[in-house]
Amino acid sequence: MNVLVCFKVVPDLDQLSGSDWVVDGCSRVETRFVKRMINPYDESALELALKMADQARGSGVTLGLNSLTIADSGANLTLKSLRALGYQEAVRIEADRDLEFAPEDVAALIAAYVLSTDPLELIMMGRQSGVGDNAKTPLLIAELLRWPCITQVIAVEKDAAGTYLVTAMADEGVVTRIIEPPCVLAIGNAPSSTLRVPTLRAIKEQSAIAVKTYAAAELISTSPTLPVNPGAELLTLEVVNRNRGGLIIEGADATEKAQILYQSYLKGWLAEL
Amino acid sequence: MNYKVILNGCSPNFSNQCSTIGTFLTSTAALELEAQTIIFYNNPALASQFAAETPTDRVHLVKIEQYETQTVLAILTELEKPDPADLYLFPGDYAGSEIAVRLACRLTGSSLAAVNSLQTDQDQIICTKVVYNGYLQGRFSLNKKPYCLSLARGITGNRDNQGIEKREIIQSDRSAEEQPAYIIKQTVDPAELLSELEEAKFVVAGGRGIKNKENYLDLQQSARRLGAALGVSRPVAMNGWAPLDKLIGASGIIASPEICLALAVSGSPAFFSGIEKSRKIIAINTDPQAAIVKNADLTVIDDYKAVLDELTRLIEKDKNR
Repeated sequence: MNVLVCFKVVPDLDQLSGSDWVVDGCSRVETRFVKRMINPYDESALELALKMADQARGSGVTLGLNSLTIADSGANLTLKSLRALGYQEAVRIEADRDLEFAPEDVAALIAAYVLSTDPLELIMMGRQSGVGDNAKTPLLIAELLRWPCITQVIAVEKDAAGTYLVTAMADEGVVTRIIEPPCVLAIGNAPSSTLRVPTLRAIKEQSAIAVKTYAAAELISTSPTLPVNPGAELLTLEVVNRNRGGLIIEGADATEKAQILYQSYLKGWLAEL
Repeated sequence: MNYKVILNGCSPNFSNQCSTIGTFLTSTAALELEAQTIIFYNNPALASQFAAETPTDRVHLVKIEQYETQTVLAILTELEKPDPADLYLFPGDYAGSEIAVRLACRLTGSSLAAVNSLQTDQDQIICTKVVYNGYLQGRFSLNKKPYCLSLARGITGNRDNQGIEKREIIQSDRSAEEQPAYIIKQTVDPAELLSELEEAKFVVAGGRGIKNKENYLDLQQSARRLGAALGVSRPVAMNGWAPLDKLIGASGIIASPEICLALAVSGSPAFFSGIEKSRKIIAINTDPQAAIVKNADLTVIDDYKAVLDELTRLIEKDKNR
């Protein structure tokens, strides 16, 4: 395999209403009833890798893609869909505890998997994901493996020479690099990277193939010892109140509402600019 | 607490970095202004200006060829040995967020990204940051020094480093450091110093509800006629309807206009963090249950196009009088 793409299936938190935000005794919010989705940054990583494989194939280069998630068996369906899309391998690591606020442990598991499998050229994943919003995992993996890492990646291509063309946002502007692998790529705001949809036929073909699964403890025990740093410990959670009052302007139709908005409020505010 | 501030003088947003750190220091009782700031820079003509803007009383100017993570990490790791710190503070820009986490690994410390407050305790520090996509705020403890923190984006406010009468400045030249071997070639398309959105007093922001690129282009025209800068939420930019430099929110521009007109945006915290510094927020949305309704100062529940058309007509009519 050339490329490992790591992803996480997360709750769509925008579906929760105000009263759903109740913090339990373990500093968590109940999200099991909420629709699940692939973390948007990870979704971009998955699609960018597929696009890169398409482009490489056009140049006569075959690119092997592997996908990995740390989740319970509920993620198997997503993994099989990824196989149907062209990922040759789909791997799941079964965690033995909640890792939402433990990016150091997530990174150690992924690094342990990487060290236990065939050599890779790239590891791709989203730069950040809810619920923890830690924004650390790709960076920690790079440090554990002693690989370079490029963050805020928005495009990637492989060329026939075996190098990669990586475009990323940076504080100085948009940086384009030709790099030698291996490298970790943390995907940022990559435009037009919605994950494609597999055909029903392709899904059916994958349905009988089992997802390769590893137990977290087994993976760690069989891998070289990694220097895992202490993380930050979550103590408490509280709801962020952004309420400004939300006065609703009433009127017979859109035109009348716009007129009230303008004459009673906006006109005066604009005059002060 | 013995701490160091790390700034990127190769970035066009150096003043913003100083403002962010300065504001944070002002609001953090545990941190005095007696500390060292390390500035990596590559333009000698700007070095004295950088030193004068520094939020602490000691400055180490480090000249480098270009700001590359591996190079900066290696220099910081080397500088730690003779002069260790309990805490490293980075601004919340791309470089700061990355290097804080990686430096903690190399110095066997602990890290946290996007921090918005800090308190010291006996053998630990307590920090807060937003989690759950911005819906919640978490309190975290870190107990392994050195603590490496990047700050949340959008920290701006009163900056109080005027009490620093004289800064102790040291300089070193590391521009001969070899660039990392994995980079064969690199080109940079420079960013603008400040985007129109960051400076605008009147912003129009369009969300997923604008539905397509054609409507985005119409919105662009309306914004121009209103004299407003135009921004968009993440779905609009990710769908390719709008360019990335129009992206407002946690992963885009943090705008702070006097007036923000939020059109067809749901108001998720990830977006709202990009407009919450607006003095007045007006939402126009067909969904009365959308989060933006409570988070705005004023809301019109209706089709944004119809309301915007009438608003544009009224504003232009008054302008032409």
